[in-house]
Amino acid sequence: MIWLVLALGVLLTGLTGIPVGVGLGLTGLTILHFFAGGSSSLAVITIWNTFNDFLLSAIPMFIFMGEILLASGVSKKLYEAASPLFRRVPGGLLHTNIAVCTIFGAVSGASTSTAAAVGAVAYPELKQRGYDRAVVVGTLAAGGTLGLLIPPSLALLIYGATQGVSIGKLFLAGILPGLLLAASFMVVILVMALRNPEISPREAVRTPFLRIVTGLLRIWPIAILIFAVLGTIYLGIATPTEAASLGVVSSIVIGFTWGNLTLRKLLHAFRDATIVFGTLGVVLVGALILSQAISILGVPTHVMAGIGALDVSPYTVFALVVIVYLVLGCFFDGISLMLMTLPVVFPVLTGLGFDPIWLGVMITLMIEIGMLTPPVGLNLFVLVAVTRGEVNLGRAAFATLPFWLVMTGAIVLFTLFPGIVTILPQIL
Amino acid sequence: MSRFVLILAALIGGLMSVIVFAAVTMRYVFLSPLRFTDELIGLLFSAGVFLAIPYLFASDRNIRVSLLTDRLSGTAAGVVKFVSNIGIICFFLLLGVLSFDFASFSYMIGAESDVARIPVAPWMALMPFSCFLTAFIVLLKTSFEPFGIAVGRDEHGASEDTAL
Amino acid sequence: ADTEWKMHLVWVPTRQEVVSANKFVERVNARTGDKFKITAYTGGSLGVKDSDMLRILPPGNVIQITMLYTGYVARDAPDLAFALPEGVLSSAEDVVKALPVLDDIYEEGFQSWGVKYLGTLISPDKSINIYCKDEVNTLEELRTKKLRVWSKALLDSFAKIGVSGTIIPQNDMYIALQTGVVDCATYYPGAANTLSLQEVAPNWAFLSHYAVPIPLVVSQKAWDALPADVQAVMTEEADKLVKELADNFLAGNYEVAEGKKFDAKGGKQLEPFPEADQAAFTAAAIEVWEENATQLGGKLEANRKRLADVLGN
Ligand code: NA
Ligand code: NA
Repeated sequence: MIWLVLALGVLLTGLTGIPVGVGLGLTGLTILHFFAGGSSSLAVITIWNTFNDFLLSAIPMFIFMGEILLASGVSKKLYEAASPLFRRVPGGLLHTNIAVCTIFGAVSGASTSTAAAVGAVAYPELKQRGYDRAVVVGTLAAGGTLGLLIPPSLALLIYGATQGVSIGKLFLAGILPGLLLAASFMVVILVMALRNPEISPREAVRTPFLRIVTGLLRIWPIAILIFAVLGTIYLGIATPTEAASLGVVSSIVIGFTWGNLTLRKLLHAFRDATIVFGTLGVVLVGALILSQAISILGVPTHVMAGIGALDVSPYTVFALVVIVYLVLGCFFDGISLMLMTLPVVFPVLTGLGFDPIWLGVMITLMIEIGMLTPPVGLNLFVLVAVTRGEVNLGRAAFATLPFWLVMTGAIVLFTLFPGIVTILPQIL
Repeated sequence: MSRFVLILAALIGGLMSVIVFAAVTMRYVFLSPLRFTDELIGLLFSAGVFLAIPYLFASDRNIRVSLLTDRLSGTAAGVVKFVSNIGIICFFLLLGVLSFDFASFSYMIGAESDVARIPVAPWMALMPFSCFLTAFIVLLKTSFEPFGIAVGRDEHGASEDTAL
Repeated sequence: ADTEWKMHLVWVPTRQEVVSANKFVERVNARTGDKFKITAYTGGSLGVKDSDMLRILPPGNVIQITMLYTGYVARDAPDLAFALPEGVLSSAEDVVKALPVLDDIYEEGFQSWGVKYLGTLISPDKSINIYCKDEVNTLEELRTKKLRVWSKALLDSFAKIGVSGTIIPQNDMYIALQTGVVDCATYYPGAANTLSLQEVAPNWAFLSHYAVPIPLVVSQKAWDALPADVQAVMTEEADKLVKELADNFLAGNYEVAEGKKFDAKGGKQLEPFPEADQAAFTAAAIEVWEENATQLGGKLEANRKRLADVLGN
């Protein structure tokens, strides 16, 4: 019955063109009221809690940073210097999305802030250069997930801390799969660009090598920004949220001194950024209400416990767990899904003989996939908001499909060859 | 009205960055950490998001699935739009009532943030405020727009920002 | 079963709090047969937070029973949250002396929220240790380090003895230690093992006695709807478990075992902080307790005096 309400709610949200946040929220309120003992007051409680979480506040600040860099012309200079490098590569600057997400993922623990930070800078520039908007969004949404697998990773951290598994080893185990995924994403871009050259325009003029180097040298002030965000996290001077604020402040400084930022442009940048994260806020409100409604009924726990009680082979159990994660991933954001399911999934699967470290990486991968699947896909939401709706949710989801397939393929690959995950923690 | 609230939201966002920046500076330059940053940032974040909501609905900037609605025209589109607006009004009225209860209960018991002991009820009260304002704006739009009267449109058009 | 209850637990199954809760649930379920059944949801899997429990529990419509560490409800009920702050105990036996008074305070405090108090389940953790990258076991050395603490009471207490602390949530602690945002952390042995703290802060030393009294509470409304015999079974089982856990706490075997496990994985136990340092910390914690109780007002000051009387400070 709950599944029927859920399906109906999602269907109506799609058909009536009601804002996604409102549609999900109404569905959630209905479930809370009629199936959870009239507990619709939980809706407000869960919104309040999540919005008061310090972690979430990195997202608006990274969006501020992106808007300021855009308004001051700094990001334009950056991409002008970088684009000759990719002249000959099919897919061009799309590859930088993956590369920058990988680097960003190596210092940030979260998927959504990676997508927000890189997306807010990259999207407007790539759009202006004539790249296919939906494809840009697809690469950024997929790239963002690397933030969760490549250490440090909030998901691996919580997995380790709650299940008593070595966090150091989990981090090591995430490296190879993360890099492998990044490489596969680039291959996907390559293949897509070869099959459909229109998605990425080729630079007409050939730039001499020396000019490329001097061009890159001229953008040295960017190094200050990179240090402010990445360096401070790496050196332990700042947490990711704090680094986001350092990014805002240094992009203002660089914008005024090196770019052409004015007070008026700065104010507009702040206003635009507020619209972007407000849009994101509306979707989050709805998504939070819906996931609270499903979790208060204990649905994830019951489903996973049901699988654990089946008398089938270990790999069948694992396959069922994967399927359930992919389905639940449509309705929950990653970390809360992990917290909800681990108490059941961990003892069942490790009891069947699966390696705890390997399992941590696999579950992280599965909840990452959920970040890309509608109706509740946080990375999609962030990027649709960053594009100001120029790419709608449906198109964004469709554009991430190739990456979704690669990630699902990765689950199969890492199950067949668990060594890819476990070798680093074993030898180091 | 919603524009004014949006500017307030933007200011709050700017303030967030400044406070976190100040906190890092205090800790590393003056070795005396600001102790209440996290709580204040959380409160500012929720305030910023909620205050931005009325403007988003006034200017029709929302994440929607428009696969079907894009293909409709005339009366059909009008009907779907009407249904969707009724949904929005119901949702924000419901959420407004629920969050009003939440905030007034907090006010009654004098709830304060854990560490800094900042009274939380006024911050919570921004939720019902924004919800009711949004419901009111959408109600005006639903009542007047079919007769060709524009309500709360962004006068400069949606792409003004990116033209900078 | 005729009546089914949901129990919310924030802790994951590896934690001792869940072990205690499960004992209670199993015993009650076994004795009440088809009449009554409690299902425990661990790891916060119902999607609710402890900080909201005083709003969610009373109506009894979604969650009927929980174990609630009162420190989490500081926003709504400071008199419950700060009744017995960290660091004020001079010995492990002190907490057993304080229990009868705590029972009174909790019973009265929860009642005003429409919540019935069944008893306090004490976790086997009984010390606050300092975990560091370097070998640190004196206050003098600790003053040169950045220290992670988990509450404002600890922050203020350390400030009084010249140690600069930062409140960092448990989830961010590992990275904070790894990257050097902090050099040391206050923590306790069982949890240190789960968090793999030996990888980032292997050296540890005892600083202060500690007790985590966790009230077992139920929605009064849901309780009133139960048959009298089920109520009786729950009261009996709660009382029985309270005693078992207090004895277990005093025996202290759990902490010794956890400490050994930690060292076997690469940790290193140092000599405890000098007695004078321990005393200085306790004195500071008591001072902070007095200041806060006066400042926050309400029932806190009267309650503090009652506890201070039995603790003898
Ligand atoms: Na990462
Ligand atoms: Na999803």
